[in-house]
Amino acid sequence: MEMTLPRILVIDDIFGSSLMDRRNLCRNFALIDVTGDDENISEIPEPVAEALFCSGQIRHGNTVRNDINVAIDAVRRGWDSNPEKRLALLLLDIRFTSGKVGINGGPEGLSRDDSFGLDILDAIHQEFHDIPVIVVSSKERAEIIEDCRRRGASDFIQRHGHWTRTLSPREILKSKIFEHGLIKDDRILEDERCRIVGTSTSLLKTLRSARRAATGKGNILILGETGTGKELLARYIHDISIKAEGRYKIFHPFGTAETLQEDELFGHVRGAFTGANSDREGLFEIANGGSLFIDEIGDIPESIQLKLLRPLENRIVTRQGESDEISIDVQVVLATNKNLDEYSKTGRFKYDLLNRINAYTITIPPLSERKEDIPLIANRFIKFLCKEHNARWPKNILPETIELLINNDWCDNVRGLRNVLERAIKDNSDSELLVPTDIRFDTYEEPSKMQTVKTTPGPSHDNIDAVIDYISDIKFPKDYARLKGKLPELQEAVAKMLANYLESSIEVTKKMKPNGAPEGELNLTGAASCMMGKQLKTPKAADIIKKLLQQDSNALETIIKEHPLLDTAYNESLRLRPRKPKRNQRNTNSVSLE
Amino acid sequence: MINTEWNNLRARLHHDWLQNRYLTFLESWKECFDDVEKCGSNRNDVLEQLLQWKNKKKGFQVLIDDCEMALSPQQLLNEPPLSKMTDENKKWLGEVIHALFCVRTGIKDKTVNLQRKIENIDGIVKIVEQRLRSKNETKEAMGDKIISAFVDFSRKISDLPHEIQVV
Repeated sequence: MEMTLPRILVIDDIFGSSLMDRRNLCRNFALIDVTGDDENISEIPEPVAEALFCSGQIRHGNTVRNDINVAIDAVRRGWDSNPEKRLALLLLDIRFTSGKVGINGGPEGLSRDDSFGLDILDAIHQEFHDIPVIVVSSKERAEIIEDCRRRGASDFIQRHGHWTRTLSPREILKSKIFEHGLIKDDRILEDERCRIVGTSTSLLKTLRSARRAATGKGNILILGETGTGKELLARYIHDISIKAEGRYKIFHPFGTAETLQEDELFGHVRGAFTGANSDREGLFEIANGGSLFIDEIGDIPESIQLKLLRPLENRIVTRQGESDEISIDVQVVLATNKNLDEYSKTGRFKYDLLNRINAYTITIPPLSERKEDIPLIANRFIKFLCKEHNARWPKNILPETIELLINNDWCDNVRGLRNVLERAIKDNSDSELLVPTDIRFDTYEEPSKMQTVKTTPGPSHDNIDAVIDYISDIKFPKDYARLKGKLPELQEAVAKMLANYLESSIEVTKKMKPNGAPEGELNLTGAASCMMGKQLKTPKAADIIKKLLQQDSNALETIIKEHPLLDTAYNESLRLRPRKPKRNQRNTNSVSLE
Repeated sequence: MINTEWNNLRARLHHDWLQNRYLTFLESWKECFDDVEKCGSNRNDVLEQLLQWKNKKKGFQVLIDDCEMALSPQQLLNEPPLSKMTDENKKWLGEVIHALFCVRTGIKDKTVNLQRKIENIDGIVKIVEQRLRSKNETKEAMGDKIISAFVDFSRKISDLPHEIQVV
């Protein structure tokens, strides 16, 4: 990825003085002057940012006048510009010297000059709520600092960096931009798919919250709808934190038995339970010195919630089967799409745990709140997906197609966008262009907002092709303990899913009674023909339905108990199925039908 | 010099020039004061900016010389209502309150101290100037020294009262 520097606006009367003063300021803070009026810009090694300068003043003859509109116009231009060049931060001087120009070449100074920067600060915050403003001053003046903070300034920076000699001015500015700036994900990554793509203000504010949280020691809770990229944000936090050199481990409770969850998190000693033949470190220990990301914290069972209290509060873990305590130094990031406040009120989530995990809470905006990012994200996905599916590249996307994507609701967020594009690319792998008709959206029954009920991940059930793709692509962990004993449950789950498919097929093929009775008459031959996509004879149809329902003996009992329609269908299929020939029958090929 | 004129001069010299511009200049070229070779083709620019001090020094000299009178409450006797006093009373009362002001604020010591700071700066600037003109081959790092000298001087000026001190 081409590295782009954050862009800042410096509103300072120094802009109205000699270029030499401006060059010194740029050199001091490691800024590249992009204002465009200096033809002899000196090279800045390892620059921190690009800078635009504005004086906030107008000169008429030999008189200099302070003018708020000059400053606000410059802010507006910088803020409304191309998102890639949008202002990340504003540096604002406080004293603007105005008046008649004296023999020394500078204005004489007027009494109101000392507070003109504060007037600009007020005007900025009336129109631009999101722009972070850092006040630049030459003095240590506590009363002015407080005044600036009250008026919405984010921070304070000394022009020549002499309040503290521990950091150079460029290091100080860099840290201020890191803490307050609206800057995109600029990590140097081996795998570009790990990058958080976007320049919308809502996303940049989320990244800023993440950077602030990453500098602290408390647990971090990421909230966001499904498919918004919580795992990507957790990785971002790790990469920019002081734990970046340490390991990054992930814990997904989904689909893991309770006992195995405990073992995975806390580990065990030999003999702790049957089959514990050796000591095993838990993820807290493995991630020591680094970060542990606990996904779907809202789905963790109550017994594990209780066991998480100590590690999250005191950074102490105990392996199963022993009492020795192990101190750990881990940055813990947790995520959920559930409403934990609601869960804690109803007792589904421990209030004590909630209090321990939300030292910093970061909310990722849904895609519907950052639609301006869709073109960037779409282009990024297209590049990767073309490579993944050996599709023609470069592949362009028509503006009308982008428009179509922008206008969609995206209830399943960035993951949904990826699915739609993946389908379009697979279906049009030889095409050079993605046109609007290539885009097929999933349809939804309910938007997947922050939920208070457990949801099934994956595509909408209305789109059976997507469901089939999804099921076919499900991968399982290469972990003996997690794979062990799951086949019966898997078979039962598959049987139930097929039974649901059958039920829908029966419903849509019912014969209407002559009097128009709504319940209709079962047509098993029609239902089986529908499922197979070809016309079947009755015995064959009955055989298919019987075999489908007998997929799993454990599931059959539940299915016929919970679905009266399938109970009837099962009995009918037994009655209509082809009979095996009796032993004493001469013609072994004959089939008896009732 | 009356107080408002003196404060205006201080704002122009101290805040607008020394703090906003000159200290930024010194900080941004610090490495060149340690090793003039690092100036590269900018050596003349750096020298030219360094020598701004020589011009501004005269103004600072006036600022220091006049600060005792500009900050003294004695000048309140020239404004109503105290200006209605007789000249004789103004004379003796003025001498008394000025003497009290000098004792309580230690202003004379402060101005002497500032004068020494200027002499110290002059010495350091001279060494750096000679280096930049290639007339001095010593290798002593001067970056921190020159910045510290000006920061110290700036702090002492900041410490001077901003208003007339009523004793």
